[in-house]
Parts: sequence; C-alpha cells; structure tokens
Amino acid sequence: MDFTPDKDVWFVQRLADAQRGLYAYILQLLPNRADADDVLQATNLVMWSKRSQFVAGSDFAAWAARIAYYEVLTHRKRKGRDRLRFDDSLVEQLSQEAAAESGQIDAVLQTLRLCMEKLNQPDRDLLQMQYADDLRPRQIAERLGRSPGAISVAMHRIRMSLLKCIDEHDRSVREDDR
Amino acid sequence: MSQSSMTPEPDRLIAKLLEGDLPETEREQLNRLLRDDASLRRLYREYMILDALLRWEIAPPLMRVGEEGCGTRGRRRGMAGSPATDASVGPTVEHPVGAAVELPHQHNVELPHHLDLESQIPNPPFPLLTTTHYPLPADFVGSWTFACMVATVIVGAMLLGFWAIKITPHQHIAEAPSPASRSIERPEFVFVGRITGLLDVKWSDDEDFLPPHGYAYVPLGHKYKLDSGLMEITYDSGAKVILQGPCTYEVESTAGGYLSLGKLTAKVEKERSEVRSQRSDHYPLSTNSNPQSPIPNPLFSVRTPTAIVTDLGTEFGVEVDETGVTESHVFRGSVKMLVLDGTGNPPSPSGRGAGGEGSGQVVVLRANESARVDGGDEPRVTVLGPSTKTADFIRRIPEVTYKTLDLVDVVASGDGFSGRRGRGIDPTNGRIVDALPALPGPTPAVLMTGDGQYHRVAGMPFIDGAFIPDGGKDEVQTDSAGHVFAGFRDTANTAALCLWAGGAFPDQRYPSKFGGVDYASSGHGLLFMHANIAITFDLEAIRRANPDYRRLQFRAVAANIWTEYESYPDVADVWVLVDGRSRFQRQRIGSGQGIFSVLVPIHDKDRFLTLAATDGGDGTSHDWIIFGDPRLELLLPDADEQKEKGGQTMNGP
Repeated sequence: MDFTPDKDVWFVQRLADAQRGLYAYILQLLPNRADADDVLQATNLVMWSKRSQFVAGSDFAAWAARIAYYEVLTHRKRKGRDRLRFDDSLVEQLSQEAAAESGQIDAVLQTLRLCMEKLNQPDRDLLQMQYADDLRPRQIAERLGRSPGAISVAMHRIRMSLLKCIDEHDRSVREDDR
Repeated sequence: MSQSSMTPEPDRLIAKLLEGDLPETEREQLNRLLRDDASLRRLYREYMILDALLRWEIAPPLMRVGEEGCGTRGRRRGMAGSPATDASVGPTVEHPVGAAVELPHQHNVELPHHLDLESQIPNPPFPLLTTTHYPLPADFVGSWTFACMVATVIVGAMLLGFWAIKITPHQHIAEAPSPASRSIERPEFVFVGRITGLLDVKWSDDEDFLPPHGYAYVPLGHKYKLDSGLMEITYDSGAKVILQGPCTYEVESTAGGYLSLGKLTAKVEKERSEVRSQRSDHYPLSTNSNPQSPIPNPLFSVRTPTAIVTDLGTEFGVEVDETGVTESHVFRGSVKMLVLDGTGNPPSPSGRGAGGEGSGQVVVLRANESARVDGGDEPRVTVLGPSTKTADFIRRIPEVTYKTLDLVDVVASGDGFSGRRGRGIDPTNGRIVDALPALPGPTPAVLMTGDGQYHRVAGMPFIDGAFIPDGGKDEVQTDSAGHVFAGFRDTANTAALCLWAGGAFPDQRYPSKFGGVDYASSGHGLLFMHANIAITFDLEAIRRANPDYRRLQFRAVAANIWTEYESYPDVADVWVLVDGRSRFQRQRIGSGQGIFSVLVPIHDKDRFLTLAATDGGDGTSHDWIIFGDPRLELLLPDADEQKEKGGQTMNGP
C-alpha cells in the first residue's frame, strides 16, 4: 500500500479499530497489564512502520495479531525468564486459541456493558478504583479500611459475576435465535 | 463467552496471576493446569479478555507512541454511576478533537532499518484469523480517546519518520541507538538546523530519548543526550554548537538551547548557514524564540540551570556540572553571562539582582576570559580571569578519513578495491568456484552437508576460511586461530549453494534490488549466503595491507530475499562474529521483511570477522540471505593524511 494521506487516514482508522482486540489478545499471552501496555505500544509502532506492506482488502486484524504475537515473543525474550508467566508452548497454544476467537471481542463488550449496569454501587466503586484510578488491591484496601486479601477476593468475585452474566446473556440470545 | 466449570483453586490462581501476586511455584502449577486443561484455558482467556475490556471501558490504555501521549495514564474516564476520581500523577496534555495535529505529509518515508521491533515481524498479510476488523462504536469514534489515539499515533509516527528520513547518505560513526526509544510529543515541527557532524557518538540509553538518525534535521524542542563522542549542530542562523559527551542539550529556540549537563562549544557565524533545515515549513518562526524558553532575545544564547550565556559575536565554551555550576570560556569575541535565580529565571528588571555589569548578576567576558556561576540561594557570577580549561573544549570535530574495502571484491579474488564480481566459495571444502549452478527452487533438491570442519581458503589472503555452521554442535570453529562460537541455533548442517559474490544475481527470478538500491549495479555488490554458510575474513591481513588505516568497522545491509511468497513462515538468522563472539545477530528473518542495516565496530585487537547465515532451526528452505554492499570501512582519523591519500571525510554536509 503506497503512502498517501488518504490511505494513512484509512490505516489509522483500522489501527484504532484494532486496539481493543489487540490489547485483549496481548493480555492473554502476557498476563501483566504493564507488559501488555508496552507490547501494544510496540505493536502499534511496528504496524505503522509496516503500513506500506499491508495489502488493502486483506485481514487487518489477522495481520495485527500476528505482529502482536511476535512482539509478545520479543518482549518475553527481552524481559528474561524472571518475568515469564508461561512456557513457550503454552503461549503458542493460547495464541492460536485467542486468534481463533478474537472476532467475538466486540460482542462480548456489548454484553459486558449491559452486565456492568447490573452491578451494585460498591462493586462499581471497586472497579472504578482498580481500573480508573489504577490502584492496587493494597491501595484500595487502605482507602476502604479493609484487608488487601478481602479486596482481591472481592475483585475476583466481581469478575466472575460479570463472566457469569455474559455467559447467561449469550445463552439467552442463542435460545432466542432458535 | 461461556463460563467454565472450575474448581475455585485454579480460578483464584488466574486472579492472583493477573494481580501480579502469583508465587513462582503456583505459577508453574497454573502453567501445567492450563497446558493440560482446555476448559481452564478457556476460563483463563475469558478472564483476561474481561480484564482487558474492563480496562478499556473504564480507562482505555492509549496508544503510547510518545512518552507523553495525550491523555496519559493520569487521565481516567469514570464509570457511569461512579464518581470520577482524579488520579492524575502529573500534567496531562489534551488534544481536543480536530486539534492541530497534521497528517504526515511525507510520502515514501524511509523508516529506520535498525529498529529491533521489526526484526521478527512477518509481512502481511498472513491470514490466521477468519475475522475482519472490529466494528467501532460511533461514540468511540467521536470520543477524545479516539482522537487522542489517532493523534498520538500520527505524531509518534511523524517523529519516527522525521528522524528516520535519510537526508543524505553521509557516513558517521555512532553506536546503534537503543531500540526502546520514545519521543517528545509536539503538535508541530519546526526545524531550526541540521546535525552536521558526528564522531564516535554513543547515544544515551535513556528510555525517554530518541536518538537522531544520522545527519538529521534538528527540530525545535528536541533533546540530545550523548554518553560520549561529539555532535555538531548547525543552526539555520549559522551558529554552530559542538556537544561533547557526556552531555544533555535541548534545542529550545532557533537561537540557542538549554545545556543541563556537560560541555559545548558555540561559534556564531555572521553568514546564514548553507545547511539550512529546508524541511522547515515554518521558517519565519526561526527569528523567534520558543515561547517556553526564558532566553529573552534572539541573540544566540546557551541557557544552563544557573546562567544564560549570550553571544555578542564570538566563539565560546560552556560547561555545566551535575550540580548546575556553570563555567563559560571565551575563545574569541565576547559573551554576556547572566545569572539565573533559584527558579531558573533571569532576574527581574526591577527586582533584586537587576543591574548591569558589576552587580554580581551579569558580566561581559572577552577573549580568553572565563567566569563561573555557582548555584545556591544567591548565585553570583565570579570572573576567573584567563581560563585554564580552554583546552578541554573541542572547537572543531576532527575530520576522519576512511576508505571502503569491498568484501564482495575480496570474495571474488580482489584486494577489496578492484570491483571484481562473479566468484564464490564452497563452504564444504574452502575451494573457489567460478560459477554458481542455476538456482533451484525454494527447497533445493540436493544439499551440501557440512563435515563439522572449518576450511581454510587458499590463495585469498584476506579470507581465512569458510564453513557450514552446525548449530547442533556445542561449539563451532569460526576461524583458523581456533575461536569457537556456541550460540548458533540448531541447524540442519546443510547448505543449499556455495557462497557467491555478485554482481549480477545468478538467477533472474530473485531480486537484487532492495530498498531502492540495485546491488547488482555498478558500484554495489552482494554476498549471497543461502543458509547454512559462513565466511571468515582475516582482519589482521587487511590491516597489514592497509597500514595507515587502523580503525575498522563493518557495514552492510542484509535481507532474506525470498519473495515468491510473502511472509512465508520459514526464517533464517544472520550473524556477525568477531573472534568467535557475536557482535551482531538478527534472528527469525522471514522473507519479504525488507532489509536491515548492520554496523559492527572492529577493535584494534580483533583478528577475524565472520559472516554467517543459518537456517533459524526450521531447515534451509526459503533462507535466501544476502549481505548488500558488505564493506569494511577503514578509518584514518588524521585529516592531513587523508588529503594525501584521496580518502573521504566522514563529517557532515
């Protein structure tokens, strides 16, 4: 693809479109938020630098995921063994499975938004502190006067309840389709 | 997304992993469980996707191409129904939708070949997924997040692009910059000059520093950090600044900059520079200082943490130590040295410390005079009289003479300067071959198998030997002195073809043109090294034949030229070894990934240089490695001798 302003705009749009799915994909392979941030950044840079090589009409998400995969491998290698979460074979396995299902991300997001509406206020506050304020469980615990363990358990409970909500919603949709 | 039926223990492991609280032993346990249990893997992936989406929904991680992208980590979006809390950790830069962020104007921007990020990336497309792009909610498109993401990636790409543009193919001696580089974000670029000299520069590895690429244009606001070496900036105004590493200097105006640490020499020419930064689309601004700069006038000035040294028609040096103490030395003409107060501002005209010379706050220095400003609550300038430090300042970057020894010519039985082409070497026995058989298909039917031995090459004084690298062995001998290398990845211990020195590539099906250069054309050359193959050059013999040129460096481009199927998954590795030790390696080079640069400094005591192409552990298919214009640059850091020998200089335009 040649460099032209129009095509650059088109490319940036595709790049922006892909961000959420890319981040989810990377986090599955590299379950550390800071590392995932770094790899997403690196992936964006590489995608931009290689934009002339992207063939219009081909699968942008697949191309992006492939680049992200290699960036994950590069990151793992750079960080060394102490930062590695999983062994290489598991990462490869997760990569294949994640890539095969990456098209569902937006549907999941729509459902997640519905499920988040159902959360009670204390749970919303916890999510707010964790994700918007970027606080660790220990910091949240200090703020709320609770133990860090209790916060971690609460966060896990919220996530599991959201997963359950998403699952039930998907089932009901499937049943309605029948 | 279906929820898997799991015992509580594994899902708690996943939660702890995500929170970063999973001990090593439990991590290994989780690894095993995930590997063996598909349902747990599913839960794991669902959990991670959920976390990613929550983060994206509540506080999207922006595309941080630059360090301070708009909407930094401190900028958070609140949940509906939740009070938004301010978790800002610093000032944020906000780009409103439609802010003054320009699309890159340049076409065919040549991006840096040295980025390690690119080293392992296959070219698109590689259809692993069955999906198309994700549809974008309309509210997201219109959000500040989207605007910032677009703006940030464009600005970041512009930064990369501008610094990566090759202005002229000047040579310089610089260590490879850190791949993990970031940049300063600015809404627009104003170029105020050019880099016009580099010598032995080692750039800082700081993550917030993006090294320039060669003789790049100098954008307003860019900070240069040198660990060592010399760098010359020529401003559009004609002023020249020589930075002496270690040094940190920010170009904060069109007529000066901020020296926070280190040493520089400034020379203000009366004529405008002929190397004006022609890329500047905002030339009229060059008469104005950056509004952020406290330098009050358009005279050339160097600001430091404690002083401003302003040119009054002169050549002068400024040195700043780690405590901010500033010394200035005048070589010619005169300068005004003004003390800055504790906040880094010039004294108020009506406040304490105002006044002219003799107030202790300002002094005019003339030729061969020097002065110092110490920090503290009441900084004052102290005139030191005749300077004893003038010899410490570099007033001119020494010209370095070099000539290039063509290794393609060497392989073709030349002396490095005769331009020969069209010969090769058989790595299985070290014999010279005069013809290369017609190239077979991507997977040659007949392969040469290595015997595990290093083979001397007779009749070529600059070539020590050749061999087939057997990565399956613990150690591989790389030269006749017995140096060994143990780092090759496992290989098939076979080679498809002999090493070939072209010239015209032996088979028209495969390109000899890369990055806009036809390496088969006159003045260029290529070494074709289909994995697995290696050749070792005798550096000492080359030095003996060129006794005046002592310092060497190896420079080339390299690529996997198999292009029939873009992004074919087979990969190859490229190695540059010196005396059995890796000085450069690029692994997993797929076809169609383009070329990359190789620059390896050679030290005085280095004896042998080995170039190797190996199969990346997946067989020799599609491993068509070439070195383009592989050359030894022989350096002679003596300008006078250079003129006698007709060499070229390595300083800037």
